[in-house]
Amino acid sequence: MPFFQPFFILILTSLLIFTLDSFNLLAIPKTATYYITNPISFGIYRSSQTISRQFYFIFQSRFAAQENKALNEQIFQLLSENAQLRSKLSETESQLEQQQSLDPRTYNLVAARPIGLDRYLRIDKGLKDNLKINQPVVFKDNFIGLTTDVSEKGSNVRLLKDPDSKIAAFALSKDGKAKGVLVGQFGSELLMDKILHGEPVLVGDLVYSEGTEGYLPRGLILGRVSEVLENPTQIFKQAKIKPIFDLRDLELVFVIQE
Amino acid sequence: MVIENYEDINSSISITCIPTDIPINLVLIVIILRAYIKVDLANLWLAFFFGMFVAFLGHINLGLTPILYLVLVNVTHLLAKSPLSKNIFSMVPLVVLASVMIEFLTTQPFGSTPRFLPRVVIEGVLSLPIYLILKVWEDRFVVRSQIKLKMR
Repeated sequence: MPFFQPFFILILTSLLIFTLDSFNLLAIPKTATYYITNPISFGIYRSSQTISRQFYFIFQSRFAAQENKALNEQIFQLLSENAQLRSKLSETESQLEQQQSLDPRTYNLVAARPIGLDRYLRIDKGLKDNLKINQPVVFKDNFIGLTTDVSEKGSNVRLLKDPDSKIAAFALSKDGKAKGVLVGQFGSELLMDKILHGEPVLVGDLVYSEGTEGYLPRGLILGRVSEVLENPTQIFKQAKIKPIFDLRDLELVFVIQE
Repeated sequence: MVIENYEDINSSISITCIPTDIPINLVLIVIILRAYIKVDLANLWLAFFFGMFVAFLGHINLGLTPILYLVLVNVTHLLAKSPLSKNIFSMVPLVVLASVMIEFLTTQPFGSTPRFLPRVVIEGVLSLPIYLILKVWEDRFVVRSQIKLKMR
C-alpha cells in the first residue's frame, strides 16, 4: 500500500477529530472558525445567487424571445384574419346598402369583386354566373359601366369614361332638367353633350341615367357637373361631368341581370 | 429567499459551493481524479484537509469526510497502479461509486434520505472532462522538482 504511514496517521487523526466532535469538544474552535467562514460563505452565496440570476435572466430572455416570436406570428395571423373579416363585413355592408338602393325584388343583382382596373374594370364573375354582355354594373345608386367581354370566370366592364361609352342622361337642378348624351373621354372627366341652350345646367348638379337604352334603369347617378361649356354659336351646349367616387375605392360592385 | 442568519446560509450552501440547484461534489471528483492521475502523498493531505473543510461547511462531524476521502484516495492509488487504469473510462465508475458511497455515508447516519439522482449521473458525466483538464494541468503546468535525464 503506498504511503501507508502518513495514511495511517491521517486516519487516526481523523478518528480522533471524529470522536472529539461527537462529544462536542470542538465547539469552541468551530464557533471561532464560523466567525471567519460565515461572512465568506455569505459572500460566496450572494455571488452564486447573482450568477444564478444572470443565467436565469439569459434563459428567461431567450424564452421571452421565443415567446415574442410566437406572439408575433399569432398577431400576424390575427391581423390577417381581421383583414379578411373586415373585408367580408365591408362586402356584407355593401350588399345591404345596395339592397336599400335597388330593390332586389325588382332587380336581379349579382355581387362581383373588382380584380383589376385599367381601361376596363375587371370583375370576378362571368359566364358561370350567368353574366352577359351589356349588363349594367352599379354600386348603390351609381352607374359604373356595362359588361363588354364576358369570359367563364371574369368580365370586363366598360366604364363611363371610355370613349365608346354613350348614355342618355339628364342633369337635374332646382330650375329644371337638362337632357343630353353622356360621352366618355380618355381622362377622369366625362362630357355631357347635346344639351339645349334653353335647358338649365349648373355646376354641382347631379347627372342621372335616362334609361332609354332599355338595359339601364332610369335614375342611376352618373356624376356631377363640374363645368358648363356654353358657346352661343353652337347649337348645343356641353357640360363636364366628374364621377362622384373613385373606382379604386370599391370593394364590391353589382351586376344587374334583368 | 430571505436569509435569517448565517446558520441558514451555511446550510443552504452545498458542500462544494457550486451555485446550482444540484450540489455536485467537485471536491471529491478532483481529489479522486488527481489520485488516479498521480500517485502522490499530497493527495492524502488534500483528502484530509478538504474533507474536514467540506464537513465543516456541511455541518457534519468534522472527522467523517476526512476518513471517507482518505480511504477513497488510498483505494484510488491502488487502482491507479493496476492495469485497469490504462483505460481512461475506468475512472467514471470509480467516481460514480465514490459519489454514491459519500452521499450514503454522509446522510444515512444522520437520519436524512440520500439523494443520488441526478447528482451521481452528472458527476459521472463530468468526471471525464475534469480528468482531461487535470491531466493537462499536471502534465503541462506543474513543474517537477526532479528531472531525470537518461544518460547513455
